[in-house]
Amino acid sequence: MRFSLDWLRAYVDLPETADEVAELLAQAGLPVDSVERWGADHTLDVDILANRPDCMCHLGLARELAARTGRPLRIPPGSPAFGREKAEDLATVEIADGDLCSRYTALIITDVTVGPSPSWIQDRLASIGLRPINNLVDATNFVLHEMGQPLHAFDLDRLDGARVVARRARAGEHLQTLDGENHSLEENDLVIADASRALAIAGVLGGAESEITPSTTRILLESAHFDPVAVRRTSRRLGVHTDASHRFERGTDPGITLVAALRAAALIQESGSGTLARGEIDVQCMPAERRSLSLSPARLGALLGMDVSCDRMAALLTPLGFQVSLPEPGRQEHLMVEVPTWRVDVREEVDLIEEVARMVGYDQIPATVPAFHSTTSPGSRPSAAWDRARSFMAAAGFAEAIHFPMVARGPQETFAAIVAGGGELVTLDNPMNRQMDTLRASLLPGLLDSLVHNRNRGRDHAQLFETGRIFREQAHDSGNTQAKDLPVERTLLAAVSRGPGGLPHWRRHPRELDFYDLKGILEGMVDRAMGEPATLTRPETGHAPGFLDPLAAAQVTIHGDRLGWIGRLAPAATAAWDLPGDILAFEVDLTGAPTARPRARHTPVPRQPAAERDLAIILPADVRYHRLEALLRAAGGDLLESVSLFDRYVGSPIPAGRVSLAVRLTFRAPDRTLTTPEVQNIVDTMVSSLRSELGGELRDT
Amino acid sequence: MEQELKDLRVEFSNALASARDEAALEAIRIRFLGQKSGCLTHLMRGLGRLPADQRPRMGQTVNSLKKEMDAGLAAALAALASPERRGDGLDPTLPGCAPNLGQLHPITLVRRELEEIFISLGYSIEEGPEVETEFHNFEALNIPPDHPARDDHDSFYAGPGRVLRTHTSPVQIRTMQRCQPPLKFIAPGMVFRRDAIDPNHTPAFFQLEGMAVGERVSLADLKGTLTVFWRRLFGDRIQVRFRPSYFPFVEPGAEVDISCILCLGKGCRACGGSGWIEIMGAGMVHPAVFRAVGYDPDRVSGFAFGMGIDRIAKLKYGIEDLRLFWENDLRFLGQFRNESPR
Ligand SMILES: [Zn+2]
Repeated sequence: MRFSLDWLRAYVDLPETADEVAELLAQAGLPVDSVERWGADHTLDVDILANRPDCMCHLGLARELAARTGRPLRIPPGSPAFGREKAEDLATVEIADGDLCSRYTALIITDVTVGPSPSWIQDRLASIGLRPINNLVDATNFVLHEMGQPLHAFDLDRLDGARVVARRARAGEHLQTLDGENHSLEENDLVIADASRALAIAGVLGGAESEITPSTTRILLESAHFDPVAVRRTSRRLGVHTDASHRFERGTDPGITLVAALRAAALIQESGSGTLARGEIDVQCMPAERRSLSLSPARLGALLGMDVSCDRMAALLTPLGFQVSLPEPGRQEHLMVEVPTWRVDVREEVDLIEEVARMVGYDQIPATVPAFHSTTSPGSRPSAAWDRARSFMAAAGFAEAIHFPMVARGPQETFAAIVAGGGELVTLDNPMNRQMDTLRASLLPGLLDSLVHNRNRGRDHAQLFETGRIFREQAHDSGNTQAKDLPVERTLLAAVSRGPGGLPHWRRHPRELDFYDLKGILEGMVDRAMGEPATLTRPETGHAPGFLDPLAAAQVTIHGDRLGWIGRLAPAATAAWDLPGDILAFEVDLTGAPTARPRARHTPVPRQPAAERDLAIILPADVRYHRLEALLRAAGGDLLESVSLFDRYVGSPIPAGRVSLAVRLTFRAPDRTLTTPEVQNIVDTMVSSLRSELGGELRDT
Repeated sequence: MEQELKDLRVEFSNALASARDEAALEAIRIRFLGQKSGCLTHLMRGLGRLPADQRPRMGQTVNSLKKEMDAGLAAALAALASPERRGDGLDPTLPGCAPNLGQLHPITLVRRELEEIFISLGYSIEEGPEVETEFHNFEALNIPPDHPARDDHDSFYAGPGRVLRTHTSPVQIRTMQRCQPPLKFIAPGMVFRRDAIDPNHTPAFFQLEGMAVGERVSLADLKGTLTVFWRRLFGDRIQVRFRPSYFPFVEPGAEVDISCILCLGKGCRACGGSGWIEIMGAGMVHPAVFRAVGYDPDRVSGFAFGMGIDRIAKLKYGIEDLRLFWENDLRFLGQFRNESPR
């Protein structure tokens, strides 16, 4: 909001430079965004937050400056000359809906000549960027920016019955406002009406029919207090935001309506015309409330971490308009503070404590660090497992990406099968655009977008991953019509790989990552995050999700619960992205990952030597490797320390329909050296069950 | 025979260690593994003379020694072929073979750095949903419907009463509802405002919320905590300044400035010449917030603060356009490869 430094100087002495004044305001919690020269004057753009409507005018800002500098505040004069006619004979005012309008003050000014206002008023308005219009409009604008009270002038001769009523709009009522718009009104809109029709939307905008014209000679000057919430609702519903509504919705001073109206009348008279009817009309439904709050020095000391004496508190608060009664020694320990009507933000004790802190200066408050122990298990972090997974992915050559969760619906419908169960996709009521109208249920479409982004910039091959939330509605029984619960949110990690990992190198041309590369990365990542290994299984025919190529798809599980999927994306699913060639991907749900890292425990390294045996085994090609390993482990029992597959071969001289697998078996007993016959016995058992259970044989025999 | 094998193995490895060229390796191969007179070949022929019950075991042993010798010879041959062993020597200026590493996103790096500082101060990390109830996002935080402060929170709605959280502050409410004081925690996470995308605005961004609630938690505690925090992050020369400000859920409220990390307060382009950077909002928890979660504001007090993770990342890395965080351009992400999380 723009202020003129000279205008502020009309109410308080300010020998300071504009920059110094800006600093004073900043310390008061009224930061100045910019200071600019305006002729010999300066303008200050002050950022007035929603809690300080009283500072949205020069007098209010000057009051803050006076309090901070300890100088007196000069209240502007507002004593117009009265004529002989009595206001109540010329017009009547009624408040029909007192909950929306607590006070309505009206002055009647006759013998008005519409013309230019005095040049000093025009200059003031120009300095804050307002265009002078005529003596009536300028006077109301001036008072708005001086005292913060919005005023409205009606042409009295255009009011039916010379009557003003503040009432709720009637069903179907319409009003054409000054901006030329025709608004249809609703029952909770407060209007200012005459005997027959609505004339203005109270606190928002005047109507065209009662507007001041060059031929206006008699006006009714409105100075009222309207309910902030009602004004805000109406203003937002109609999409009309005005200087008046901006102030009313933040809260105006109910105590100033008459003062402001008289000030405006005096200014109109300064332009050389206007007779003010005697006896203002001032209808009050609720007398302007002056809250009285108690302020405990002990409480203030505890909250600020600094003690302030009662006398000092009184000295700090009084210049801001608070009336402070000091405690009576021996009878009470707190101050009683009466809050000025313009301080709509001061409602309870803490608000007074802030006023004291503000006036003392936050820089005077000491700095300490609380040392207590939190009940929320200090050091615990739900994200720890996800961060372990992230670090693993980065070490495995993947770059971390982030995407907006607001996405296009179409691709999500293709990819959303990742998590088991889950209801509908979550949609936004007011998306930025159609491309961002749904909350993601899979991270993969975003990663594909980023593959395209990089491809378009010359990086055709990339490995990317993301960890983030996905959203699904709760899977309710149909027919449940109660208010929506919050969606189910899960934290997923997804990765995509397109092409080789790394650039061609003189010693090594990195090959394209294949399914088994990605599987190894997935397993390592899941082990880091979950503290236990994942299992991969081929889905039954027809059960692979549509976005994966059924020939290269596997389900990822832990203890039989599906964590997600890994595989090659189906070309049909990625057709919308310009990404020729294979894309490998996985997406797994890490929501249930333990928050604490499984603590490593030392076990003694083995002292006994191991016995190693390599077996070359020929198996029917349709026997899955895990069956072979399970068989070897069952036969090996506790003495078999590890099984490692080090070769797999299909082709001549291995007969068609068979596969050759070479495994290294490591045997060890914790307490002795294994004898060769012992090991040979185990191997013999293995070979015989290999024959009988899997139809396999040793290659070398 | 077992002893013979052991001796042979030692002999082989000694010979291998002294071989300096390919010819020497070939001589070793013939000596041990030659078809006609190799020592091991000879031993293998002798297997047939062993008693039947010993044959399989010794067979295995001999076999594995043969494999070991084959592998040893192959490795020695490969070593001789490597550039540092060849006559033309080693060129240390040839590009080295580095493992292919990825990198963490700068937002993750900064978030972890901030988390570590607060964890060291005894804070826990808490979370909440990204789709929130209006109650948790607004009402419980003393922002009733039709409050002008909602103008600063242009929100996305996802069904009646549900909003994409506009700040991480609802986690304050959820954590206070779940736990009893004293509490010290932070809540980092993604938040949403319906802002058009430009260099300074994205519809999603990252905040880190912090809160401490106890019997006599004071504004002085807030000042001290944040001063420690900013100095840990940016160094001991950082000054921290508190100005009165307004957020509905705190009272007294403060805007926190830190001295510019580039010019250390002298004034430069980054700080608009002022020497200060407006960095976060903070304040003492409003009694209305305590009442909303069933805490007695006469018995507990607390502070809360919130900062933008993106904003700190921008400052820390000199990034001028927030959109870069969301484009995932590998040329951008690669710039942070040496920023290891602490
Ligand atoms: Zn600077």
